[in-house]
Amino acid sequence: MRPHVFALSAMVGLALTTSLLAQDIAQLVRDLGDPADSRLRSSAYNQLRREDRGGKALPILLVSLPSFSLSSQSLGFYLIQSYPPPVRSSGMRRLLSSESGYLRLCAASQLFKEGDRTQLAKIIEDLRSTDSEQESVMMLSRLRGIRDPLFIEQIRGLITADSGSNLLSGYLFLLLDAGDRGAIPVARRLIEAGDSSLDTRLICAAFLLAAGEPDASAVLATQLDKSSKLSLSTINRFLLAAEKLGKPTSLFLLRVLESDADSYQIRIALRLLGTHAYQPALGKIRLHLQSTNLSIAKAAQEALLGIAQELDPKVLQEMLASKEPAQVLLAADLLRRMDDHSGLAAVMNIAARPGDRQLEATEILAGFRIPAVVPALLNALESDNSRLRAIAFRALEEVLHSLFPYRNLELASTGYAHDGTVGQREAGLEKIRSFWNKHKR
Amino acid sequence: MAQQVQSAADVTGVGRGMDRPLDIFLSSSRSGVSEERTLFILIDSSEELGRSSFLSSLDSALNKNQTDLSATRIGIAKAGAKLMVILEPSLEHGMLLPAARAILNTPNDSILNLYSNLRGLSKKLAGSPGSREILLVTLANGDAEDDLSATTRRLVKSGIKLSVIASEAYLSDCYWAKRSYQQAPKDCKLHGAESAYIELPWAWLFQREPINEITPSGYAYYGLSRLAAATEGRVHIYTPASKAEHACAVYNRCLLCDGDHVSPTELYKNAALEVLAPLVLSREEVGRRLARDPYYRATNRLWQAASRVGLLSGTAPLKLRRTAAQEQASRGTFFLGLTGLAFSSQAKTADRAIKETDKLIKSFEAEIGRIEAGDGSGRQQAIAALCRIMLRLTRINLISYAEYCRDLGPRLADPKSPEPIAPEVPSSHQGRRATGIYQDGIPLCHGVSPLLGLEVPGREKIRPHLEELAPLVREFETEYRNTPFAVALHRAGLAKFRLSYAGTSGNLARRRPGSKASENGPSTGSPRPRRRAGGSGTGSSGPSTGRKR
Repeated sequence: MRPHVFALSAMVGLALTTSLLAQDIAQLVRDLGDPADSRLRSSAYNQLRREDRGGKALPILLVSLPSFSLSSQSLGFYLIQSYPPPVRSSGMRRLLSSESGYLRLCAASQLFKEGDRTQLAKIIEDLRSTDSEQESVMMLSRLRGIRDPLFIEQIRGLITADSGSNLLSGYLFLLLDAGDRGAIPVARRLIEAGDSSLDTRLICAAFLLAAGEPDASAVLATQLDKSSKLSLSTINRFLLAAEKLGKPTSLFLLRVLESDADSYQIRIALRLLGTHAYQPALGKIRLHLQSTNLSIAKAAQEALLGIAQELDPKVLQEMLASKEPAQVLLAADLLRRMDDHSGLAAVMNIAARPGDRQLEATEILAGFRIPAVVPALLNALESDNSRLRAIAFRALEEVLHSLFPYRNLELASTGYAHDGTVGQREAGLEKIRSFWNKHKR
Repeated sequence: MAQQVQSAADVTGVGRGMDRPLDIFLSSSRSGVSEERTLFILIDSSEELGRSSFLSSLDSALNKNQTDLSATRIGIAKAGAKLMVILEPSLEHGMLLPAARAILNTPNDSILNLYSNLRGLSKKLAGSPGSREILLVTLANGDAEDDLSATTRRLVKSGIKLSVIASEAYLSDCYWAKRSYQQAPKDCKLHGAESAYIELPWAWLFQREPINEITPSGYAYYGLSRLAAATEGRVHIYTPASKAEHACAVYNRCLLCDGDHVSPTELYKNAALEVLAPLVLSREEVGRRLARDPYYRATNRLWQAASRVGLLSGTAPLKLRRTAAQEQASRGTFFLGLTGLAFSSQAKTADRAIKETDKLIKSFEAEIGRIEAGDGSGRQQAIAALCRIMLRLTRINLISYAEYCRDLGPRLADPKSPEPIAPEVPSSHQGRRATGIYQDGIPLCHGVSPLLGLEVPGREKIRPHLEELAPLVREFETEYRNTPFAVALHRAGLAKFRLSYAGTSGNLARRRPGSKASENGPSTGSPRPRRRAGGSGTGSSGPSTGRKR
């Protein structure tokens, strides 16, 4: 078979791509690795992605990445992946001998996905070589989508009773995603093994449930009953992926709704019962709709939608008239999601008043992709409250992105930053207002 | 009884899960048969089935119906290039679950000829004692159709009732018609629609994907429904719960929401579906009935005319005579060629197409306006109503396109165009050479009103047309809510034009002569191309007929 040689016209672009100077690139790469400021990291990533399409930063990245945190390494790898083929290919090959196991695995898995089967052994070796659970979990997330039988078999072989719960969950979810039925007996053995921890058993039982095994729901409920401290988050993704929860597990989740579990666990239980449309839960879910904790009330609303598929607009209109702002926001947001903007005035009203719900109301305004919300969001950018400014900034970017689908907008390019100085904010806001006044209709 | 079955609604069961169909199939009391029975479960093993709750549902159904099954012989077979009987029918049911598990452990992603398997199985069942039934469980095949009439005859002659658990077909699906190069098993024709023919005109100009390919139909493939109808069996659709979600855009992000849109009109309701169900009579009979349907005749005429002027790239599968219809291949044909960078001439081509579209709108609306109330089927009336909207939407897209070519397109393609002023930033493609124009869509899912607030090319020119379209869309939504036709409308959209740029691919690893597939070289993919489902979320499919499981 003749090798595929595709358009080298990409190379034409190389000469035109970048106006970045070497010192700019060095600074941006340093920012990419900033351990403290995630905003700086993502801003550096965006700028490098936009302005260094040719890959001039590659040599510096190759030197710097191994000393960065895993999340910065991940961003750096995405940059290398975006380079033109010859540059990308050279970068990948050099990453294979990087000091960082994570980077080695990123490169090996990418090459494997592109057809280089010799990388399989390296992938497994890198997975074995790390002692850090966090690194292993991040490595596993890079391996999703590989369905090669030999790879699957090797991953299955890495599972032991000693695998930490995060790692075990990572292995089993990868295998579930690949449709590997060979992992079913492995999970069963771990449940039955006397020395398996409760977390191990929980994860394995949740995996079996997601894999459609007949008795898994009862097995899982039994293990859940045994656990003294509830942690649905360890098994959440398996239960979401399962086709059905089965009665024993559903009943357990129903009991969570009645318990004094923390709000996070209640939200997970609500989501699971809603996703699986568990009708008997309707009454208990409705009770949580009244919660003053907006995130719980919202989760209850989602669960009701999952079960009933719609909520009566009349009920929502009544909620709009409530004196409790949380209820008003909840109703207005859902009505908006149903293309009914009758709650907009109420949301704008709450967003304009400093108070408990101002931030939430401003966040909800982002959902209304209409010109009417822009002035309110512009005003919020002038607020003394930095969190409010941050929310309004994101909201405004989303709304303007929708209203001007043919324009490439980046509000940060005006110099506005929610945590910038007063002078920077005023100057930036002036530019945003001027854009809006010129283009609004 | 069999003669009365006319539409897919008559044979399709309620619900989307595995429990109910397996329970119905195994339960003799509910099927009204108390005497001796011989059953075969024919499993088409696929990854999708492996992920489903088939095994646990089979386990519960066997336990639940233990007493009923005392005189029932059950066997298990695996679908494949050659039919494999894994377990001969017997009164001992203890091995059924392990046999089913063994089949699921070896999934097959080839396109399979299930029809030939069914004929083979019917031979084996022919002399079996008592009433004879086959349950075909297939989530991946069924769209490879092989001699439907012969298969029907064979099953009927052997006195076999066929029931099916299948995945949902797409509305008048044109997927295979568009990909006529796809190899099918010997003697098979690929037909993914729920209807005998592709009835809904497909591949409208400026729609990113044909709405026919991404709208769940509410029914199984025509061939399977036809077989069940002819043998007095039932069809059950299976959709995983996780797929019963709405998403505005299948292939891209919705510009008008965060993906949190709630669209109750997309939940299919049986009463609404039944009126619009496709016919499951023989293909010839369906053709005859369509030829007599005034709405279909109008749609077919529009289809031919719109294809001629390049507004539709898919051709009609039926050529109408006075009272009959002649079958012809439905395939992709020419477009207007509006994808290049000759902005000025393309704007003129679009102008001409707008005039042609105006004429088509006028004649089509006049023709359907003349049809007497009560004439024609509900389904064909829905298709005609949808076509009416699609025609008007295409006109709007053409106007916007012409304006894009006159103003914005040339500016964006010009490398010397001035740098924008903040908050606008240069496109990440600035400086690269554009190679053409393509389009995304802004879906009609949120209605027409939000589109009026967007800054798009030709905004002022399209405004009156959008205002005219709005009541038509509202009316259509009211009439066809909770049916696939509402979903199909939502999947259509206002085009958003973009410039495309040269690719950035490089050398791929060379496969050496004589090497094994596992040694090197990129995979060539599975025999059955993976298809993204139409609907929601992570590309998964939308609505469902009820939530009973």
